[in-house]
Amino acid sequence: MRAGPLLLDMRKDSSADGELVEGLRRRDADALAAAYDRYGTLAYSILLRITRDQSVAEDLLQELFLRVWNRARDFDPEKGAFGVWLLSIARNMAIDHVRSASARFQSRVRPFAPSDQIALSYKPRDPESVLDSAKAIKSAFSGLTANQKKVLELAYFEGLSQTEIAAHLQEPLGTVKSWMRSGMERLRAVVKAGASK
Amino acid sequence: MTHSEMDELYELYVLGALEPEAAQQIDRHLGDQCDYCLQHLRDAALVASAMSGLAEPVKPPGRLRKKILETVTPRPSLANWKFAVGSLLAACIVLSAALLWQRSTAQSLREQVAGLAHERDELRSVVDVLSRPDTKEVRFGLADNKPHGRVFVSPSGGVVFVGSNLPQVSSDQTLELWVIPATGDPQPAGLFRAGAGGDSVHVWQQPVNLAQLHAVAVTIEPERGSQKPTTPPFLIVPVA
Repeated sequence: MRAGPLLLDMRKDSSADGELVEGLRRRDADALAAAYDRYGTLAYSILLRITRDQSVAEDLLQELFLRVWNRARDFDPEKGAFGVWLLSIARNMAIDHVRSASARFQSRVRPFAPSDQIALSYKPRDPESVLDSAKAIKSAFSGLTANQKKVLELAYFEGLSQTEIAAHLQEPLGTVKSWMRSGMERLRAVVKAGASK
Repeated sequence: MTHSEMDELYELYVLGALEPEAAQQIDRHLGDQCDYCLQHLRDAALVASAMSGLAEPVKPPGRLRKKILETVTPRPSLANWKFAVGSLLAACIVLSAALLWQRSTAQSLREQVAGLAHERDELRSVVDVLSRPDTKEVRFGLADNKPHGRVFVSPSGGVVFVGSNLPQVSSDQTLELWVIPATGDPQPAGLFRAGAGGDSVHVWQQPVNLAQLHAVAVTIEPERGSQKPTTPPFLIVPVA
């Protein structure tokens, strides 16, 4: 089921993320509905892209929002960038899933992935930044070279390290690092420009 | 490594793509509460999350939204659960008494009484956990064809696992519940089996540190259980 120009259709009213989190902390089901409407498609898109399995992606999406529901009280709306947190969890869940069953078990035993910890303490400069930045990055990404795109996709969607990417592409590690740094620099610049507007 | 050298690495650190040596250097700065690194990692977390926009946008099936929201909308309250379990307890006692009446031998009576007492004690334990004001409830499994049910956790009372559609195991196997702390190894939390319909209620009466509890899981183990999981869990329920 393709969504069309999804990112362009996303509501810009993400300044209400704080209210949304407050609602979740009050166990307000309407807040969960709002969270789903705002981030559900983006999260599902990541889950599907990483797992490449619709059934698994659906299961993980349900688990993701139940986790959000159950952990909302741990979230400080004054500090938290809700979207950053939710999307980080979604990616980690999907990458965990595609790894071996035993590895997945061990990884889930960890309290949080590093990116979860960071996201939980992240204070956004711009409350709309996650959705806006996702749009900006999508646009900037199209301007990268094929090699830059490839290495960044392997890092984000496959969860591979630089060494693993070099082995996967059969390219020198230094070359892969160079592609990643230059590509990431472009993405960082567009996000930074958006945040400073 | 200087901060300016690290400037290009924070996003890769957040994505887990960095080489271990470089990641360890950032770890050390974070361990020292380095403000520069913390701020740059916060910015990097935004860039990393925004990379979700690279995924081809696909809308989830409409039924998922309804399904998710159904799991969090008001359900029969804990009081109703207590009533249901209490009724079950009473029915169990009446039924067992009727059965006992029909038994003629003393041995049979003793066995029935022992079994009844065990069942009664277990049900009382369930009621006890469900009755506690600090009990936390977590639902799991939404698909009809997969294990689903609820986990009740009371810091002072323990864990009650209520599951349906659980797998049947052979006579030399058992299901084992695990309590998974935020750090450290999974702790065994009792053995149980599913009934013919795949249903089971299992209670584990040990104090639980909710702040340290990450999840509960269920594995299939050899008949006498294990001190450490020997198979991957077929069910993991995040509780934190």
